[in-house]
Amino acid sequence: MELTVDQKDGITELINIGYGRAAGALSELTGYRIFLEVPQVAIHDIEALAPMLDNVLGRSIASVNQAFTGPVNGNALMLMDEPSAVILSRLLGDDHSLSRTMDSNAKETITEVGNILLNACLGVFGNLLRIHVNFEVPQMHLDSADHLIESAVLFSEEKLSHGLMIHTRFRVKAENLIGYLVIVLGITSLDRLLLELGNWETRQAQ
Amino acid sequence: MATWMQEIFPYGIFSTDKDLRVESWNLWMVRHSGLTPEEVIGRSIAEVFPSLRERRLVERYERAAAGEIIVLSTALHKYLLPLTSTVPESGLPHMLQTARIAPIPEGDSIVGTVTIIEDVTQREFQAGIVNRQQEVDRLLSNALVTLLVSKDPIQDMDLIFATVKVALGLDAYASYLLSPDRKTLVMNSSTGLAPRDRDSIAKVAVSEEEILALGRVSASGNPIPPESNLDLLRALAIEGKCSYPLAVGDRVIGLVAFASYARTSIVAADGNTLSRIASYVAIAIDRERRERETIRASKAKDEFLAALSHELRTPLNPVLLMASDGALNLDYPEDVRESFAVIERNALLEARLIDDLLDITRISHGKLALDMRRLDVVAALRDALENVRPSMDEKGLSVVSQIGDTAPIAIGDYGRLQQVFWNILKNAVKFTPRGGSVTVECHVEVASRKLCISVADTGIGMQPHEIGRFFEAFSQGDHANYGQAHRFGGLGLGLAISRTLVEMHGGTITATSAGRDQGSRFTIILPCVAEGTLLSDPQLALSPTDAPLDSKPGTQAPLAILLIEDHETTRRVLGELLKRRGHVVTVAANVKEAKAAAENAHFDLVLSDIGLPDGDGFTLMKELSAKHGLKGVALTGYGMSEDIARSRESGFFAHITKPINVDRLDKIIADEFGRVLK
Repeated sequence: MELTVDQKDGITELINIGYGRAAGALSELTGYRIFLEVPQVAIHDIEALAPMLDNVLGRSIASVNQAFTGPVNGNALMLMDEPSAVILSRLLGDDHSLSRTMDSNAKETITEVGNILLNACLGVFGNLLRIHVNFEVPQMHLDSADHLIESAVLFSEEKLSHGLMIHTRFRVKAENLIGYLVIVLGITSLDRLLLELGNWETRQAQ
Repeated sequence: MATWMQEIFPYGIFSTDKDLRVESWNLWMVRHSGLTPEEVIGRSIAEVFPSLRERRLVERYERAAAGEIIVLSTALHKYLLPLTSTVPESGLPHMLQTARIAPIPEGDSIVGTVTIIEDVTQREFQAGIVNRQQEVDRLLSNALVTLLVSKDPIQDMDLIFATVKVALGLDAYASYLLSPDRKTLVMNSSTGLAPRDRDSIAKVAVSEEEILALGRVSASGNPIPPESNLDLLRALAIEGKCSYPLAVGDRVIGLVAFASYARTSIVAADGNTLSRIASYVAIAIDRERRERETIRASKAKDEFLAALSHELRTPLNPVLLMASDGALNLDYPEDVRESFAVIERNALLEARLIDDLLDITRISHGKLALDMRRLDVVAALRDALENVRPSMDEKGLSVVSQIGDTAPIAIGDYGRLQQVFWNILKNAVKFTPRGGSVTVECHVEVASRKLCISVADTGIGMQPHEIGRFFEAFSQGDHANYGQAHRFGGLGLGLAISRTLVEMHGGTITATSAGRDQGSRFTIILPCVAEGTLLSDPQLALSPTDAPLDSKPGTQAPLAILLIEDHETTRRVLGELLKRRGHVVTVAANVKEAKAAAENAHFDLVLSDIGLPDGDGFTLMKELSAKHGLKGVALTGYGMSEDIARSRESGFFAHITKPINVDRLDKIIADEFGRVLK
């Protein structure tokens, strides 16, 4: 399944609004200017997701996932390779140690960052697309891509079939870190999301 | 959530209504906040804890009330509510917390929020200790690496301090070494001290008791007590400071002091790190001193060897002169001449052994220099072959020479290459039993411009494990125990010297053998410039050649010769030999006498030693040639070919290495002054 140019633009704009809010919240929290950018958006079949993430993020992926339910339901994940996650947590937490592994402190920091980011994006769906969703508690994992996708799919009510992949760039204190936001959805939810997206664009055009 | 569950969990749990007024407050919250449910229920959470608003956390509550789940991490917030710390030793004002705030849904709407707080102070405190330990390990291992490769550990304290200062919050250090008389501590390196402060404590007198006390402190691993006179920074207005002895066991070698301008004291954990660094530095200094001692001892040995060789060498010169002259003197009966020849051969052998010792000391000092010029390598090989031919004939060895007519030109030191070939040939003769044969081959690999010279014999051969060892100094093959001990004699230096010489020529020398009694083959490969003949290369004018002597003593026109030589016996014997050849000889023992003699008479030829008691032969020759237009021949020590260039510059037209071979001197004179009679 391919997104049309309009749909792509629409989602990019929505996510940018959400990211603007998240970057603001993170900057306020840490006292540093933090930029979040969305260079690319694409939709993929769920089977294609794991190999693709494997390819770009390597074997050990730090993820924060938050399931959501409502008229649109699915699972939202923020994904980074482990070294980037460690660097990001150190930058935000003003931690000067040279540790290269995720300790519990780093895991919590990444969980909070993921939580802010996912809340902001899913919140935008609720506010702008007028789809109200319920959140579940965010979970932090260190795992390989296939396991992450597998467990995201496992406890869902709807059969999750597609992944909305949002390439994300974090810029903190002159460091550029790459991450991905992936929203996995069932076909019904995706259909509803794209429908509401169309409605929103129509409203915007008026 | 059921109330009893809230009380069971080891977490702080409280709930609010939609307007963030507290509705429930569990026992954990009571215990850690000191506030009873009565004091908080019904009041707004922002009112009970005003800091929430300041830290913008009320907004997060409002978002939770709007439906979001919020996670608050320790690293970004430290705490949600200002609760009492459960780990007083952490020194933190509040308990470290991670918290989750969730909306409470009821049907389609949200009726309030619930907050769960986890105490992570203990966890963070432990993690801090582990991190700190890792940091200390890193610092210590960095210090160790620096010290392991250090040639001057006390100076490298600067490098170590640079890595430690940031981690331990230090600003200054000073290291001291105990003076040899053990009465003063002298500052050796320091960083971060104001010049005046530094000068005021640059030298500190110590008593024997204080040194003993330092030894005791060192054994305890503690810093030097601040009340001690040896707390050297005491004089300075620095609060955060500590000093440690530099000692190996109870042997005190110095002291090192650290200081922080920002801190009021150095905590015990940091002190431990500094104490260990001090002990590492002490060990490194001790090791470096021992190494220096070893090097000094080895150098002293080399110098002794060089001096000894020189002293052994000098008396041989007159012996050689007289013997070589006696052997050639037709006035003597045959058996007397033969006896002289035996004396000459053996004295020469002795001289060569001593020269080898001198060479090996030069090699170990890196002082062996070569006089490189274009030369005919095959001529050098033929020379060497001629040198050993008498001993080959004596042993009845047959020689197969496959040298050919080529004259490959290489860049090298004629004398040294001849020495290499002679060493290899001499070994071949030495280790080949009577009746055997020695094959000498020489060919040029045109494509690779390489000259291959090989010497093969039918001698005792080598075991594979011996081969590499042959090229090491003072090493001999197992033949030392082959038959009777040291049946073959020698010091085992020849091949070590040869290898060094060949390598200095950019070549290689290798040995092969099929095994014991299977013979050996030594192959020398040298780079060569071209194949051709050396016509009139003026560069070669000084190189000795083995052109047969076609004049006998006495056929030379008499010359007026000024002989300058400080060794009395050599001077007398050489003088006698020259006189017997009909020359008029004036002798001088030093520069002064030589100059005086030159003023008073005219000389055809100057024969001068280089090392003279009141000057050197180079300067003297320069002056004699400028002032009186004299020609000269330099008499230099064997192996001093590095001086050849200098001797030519000084006005010598030739030089003869000692031991002086009379034949050669005759020939040089004949070449220069022509012959009167044939």
